[in-house]
Amino acid sequence: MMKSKPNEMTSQQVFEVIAPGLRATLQDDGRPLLKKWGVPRSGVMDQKIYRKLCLLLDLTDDSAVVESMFGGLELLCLNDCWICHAGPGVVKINGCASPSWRTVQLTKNDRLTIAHHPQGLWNYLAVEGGFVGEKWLGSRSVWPAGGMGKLLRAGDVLERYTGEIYPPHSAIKARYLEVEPRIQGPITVWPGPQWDDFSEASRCRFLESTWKVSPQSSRAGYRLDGPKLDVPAGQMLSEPMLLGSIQVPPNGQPIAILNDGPTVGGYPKIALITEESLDQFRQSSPGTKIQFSLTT
Amino acid sequence: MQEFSLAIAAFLPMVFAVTNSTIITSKLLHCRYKQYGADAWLVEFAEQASNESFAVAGMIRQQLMSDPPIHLIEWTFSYTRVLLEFTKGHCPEEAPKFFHVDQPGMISREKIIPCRYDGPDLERVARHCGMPIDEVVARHCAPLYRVHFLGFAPGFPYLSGLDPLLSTPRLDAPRSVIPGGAIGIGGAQTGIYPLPTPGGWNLIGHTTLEIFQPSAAIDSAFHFQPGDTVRFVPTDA
Repeated sequence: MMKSKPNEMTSQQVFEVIAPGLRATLQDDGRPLLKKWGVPRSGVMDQKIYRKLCLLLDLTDDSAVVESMFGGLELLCLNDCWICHAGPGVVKINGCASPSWRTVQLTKNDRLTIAHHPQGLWNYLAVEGGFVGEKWLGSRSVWPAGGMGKLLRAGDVLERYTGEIYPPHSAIKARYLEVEPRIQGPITVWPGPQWDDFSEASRCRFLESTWKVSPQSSRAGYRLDGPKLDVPAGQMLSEPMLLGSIQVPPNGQPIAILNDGPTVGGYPKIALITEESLDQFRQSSPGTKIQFSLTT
Repeated sequence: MQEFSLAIAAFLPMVFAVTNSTIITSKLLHCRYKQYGADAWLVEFAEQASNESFAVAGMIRQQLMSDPPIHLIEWTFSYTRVLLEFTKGHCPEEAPKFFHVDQPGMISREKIIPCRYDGPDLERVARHCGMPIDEVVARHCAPLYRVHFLGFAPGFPYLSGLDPLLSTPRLDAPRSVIPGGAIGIGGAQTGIYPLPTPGGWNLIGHTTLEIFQPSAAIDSAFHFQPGDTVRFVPTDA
């Protein structure tokens, strides 16, 4: 799948995928400004982690990283390289636990595994130079449903960019970032465009209930299990949506629209998750309890 | 949430622009504005999808392109609304205003879509509409359709203009994969699937045109853009 690479760049094989786990893809910052074409943002589900990994490895802001959902990813190192990983999961190198937020020098034949941890859903692996990947509409983020790339499969070989525009191998040193405490507490939301159309009882129920992320969730959106909300009467016409919008279809079960989700929607939106809370929300595994608090 | 109407202002004539020494007076468009999070405005410029809402969207689009509000980074239309997104922290406290302008020179590209009417649901549609297949084809080819906006999938055009007599309910069970290029009728709408997706529309035909090319550059990846007009032409190819 890693077929095209820009002329000015050279590349080197770095990993063979031994097992992809439940879902592993290449992601970068996504396609933030293509909504008018019907193209969702896509990109990493945890932006904070992505930015810090780029910082630790001197990566340009369009670099691709491997995103692993639920863990289960196993990689075999094919050539010495510096990597850095982060996320809630447990990462082991040759069977020994490897802490997040540190650059690590791998040597050929090292084995790296990522195991799921209930504290969060998405784990990330970055490599010096960035992973080689085809760009679709300016981004290497894989979105299979949109015809943009495929999930990683066993046997895939991952390459990294090398060459002059990236720091030479020796320039990267052992670096680390302080581990920030995991953000907990309620998810902050703005009132959605149809907030006023929901009954007072529904608005209260939305803010006062404890919700659970449903197992029927994906990168396109998370369903929320909890009490049924009453939906405003009448059909509404589709309108453009922001990522993080919480819409309520006729069955009364809210859905938060996320990275690979639609750009327009015809269901009323009760709330919009604030940018500050998005990463925390997206890291919530199915079964995680969620509460919302209104911001002003 | 803030929501206010510009009903009064809408009737105040405004000096809008000076072109070739001619003063064009214009009126504010009557819109409803809603804040959508910290960095966006949602502007409702019509109550329902119509030829008029299409024309108004064209006016707004032209103003957004020729005189974009400061810090605007993205604008996205639907039939009756436009979402204006601003750089984080730079969303204006008051929403941008739009004007009614007569634009005789407004460019609307006409896109010809060769369509082979061989879809698996063509007979179903003919049965439902109580007319022969030939008439379904003739009625589907007759109108000039309008592309109001793109959404649902990359490059998928939301069209208006379907002959109401061709309106056919969606399938009870959506197909798990509809091939790219398929042309269908869903309720009172018709459209073209840009890439293989699940879908519940009645498939009446297909085109070999590539509606969406994910590997192309952004300015050539999409066959349609909002504001285009579309005509279907039957073909044997």
